[in-house]
Amino acid sequence: MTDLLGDLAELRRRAREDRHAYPFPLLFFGIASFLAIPLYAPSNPVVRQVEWNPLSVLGAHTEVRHPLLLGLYWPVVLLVGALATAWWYHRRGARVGIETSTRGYLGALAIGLGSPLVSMGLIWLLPRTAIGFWGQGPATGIGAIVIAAATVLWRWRAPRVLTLTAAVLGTAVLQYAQSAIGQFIAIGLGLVVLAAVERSTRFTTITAAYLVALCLSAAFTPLTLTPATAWSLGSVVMLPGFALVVGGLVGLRRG
Amino acid sequence: MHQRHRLGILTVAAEAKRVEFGYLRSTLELTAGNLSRHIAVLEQAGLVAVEKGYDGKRPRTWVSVTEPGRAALAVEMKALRALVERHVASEA
Repeated sequence: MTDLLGDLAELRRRAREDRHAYPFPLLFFGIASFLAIPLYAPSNPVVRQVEWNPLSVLGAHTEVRHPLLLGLYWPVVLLVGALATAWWYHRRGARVGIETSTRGYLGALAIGLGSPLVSMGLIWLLPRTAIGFWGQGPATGIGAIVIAAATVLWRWRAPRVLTLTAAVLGTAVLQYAQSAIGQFIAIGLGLVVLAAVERSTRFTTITAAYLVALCLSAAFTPLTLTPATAWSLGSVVMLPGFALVVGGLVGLRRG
Repeated sequence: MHQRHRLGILTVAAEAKRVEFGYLRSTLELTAGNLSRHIAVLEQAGLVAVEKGYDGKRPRTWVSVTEPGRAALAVEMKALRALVERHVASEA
């Protein structure tokens, strides 16, 4: 009987190892982060100020030379990255013979891409209410707690409407508070779901390291440095981008 | 569902969205005929779903676990662990 349980555990371990395909999204989003750096070139002096950029909570800045281009870059990267990852998992599944579901991952990235609309609603609505503007600190805390609650609801298989509402609201509040890394919050959400589906300790560790890098990047990037340079504005993407690329390479090396 | 290989099929299938026939055959070290028979029994019991298709010109058969299959596997694993625990306790 113990032998049987041991054999089944070995089968499970082997199946999990064979279906891992996580280096691709890590490398894709990591490389895309570094490719974005030229788009963070500042506009000195400010020639054209964009009054309202609907994509500004996905990592855009108004002080860069081409704010709309940068605002469009990240949604396109997120969309292409999500579809390419789903394709990659499907192809790998066909090649190896065991396929991981990417439905949850695509759903998480869709939440990350759709939440900015809610964020923009909050930016418009909150000053018109008694609450006023939320401070960055409290809003970040509230957003993180609501996302954590959504993750617990998802693991408990709670009603989908409840989980979805919590995930969208949490992400929206977090992107509202941390708009400079809004795109990385969406990527992080997708990676957390993918790590849970892959059931890989290594991938979970890489995702945790990425989230730590994201927090450090949000806390310590010199966004207000004057005069602004492509490096001071773009440095917000370097640490998460570095964590993604290193995580992808570690995943490739370990197979 | 006590059969060792059927338990193996469900264990592997429960780990993924779907598993290919060839992968199951090599992982479980079964002949094609044996594996087919086990899958047919599981399919008849509603524990797995079988999907036939092509990858290019190559015919492929994919097996995925159903919700009743997942539940049956959980029950079986729980029963097995309880048996082992009882056996260990009786020896101590």
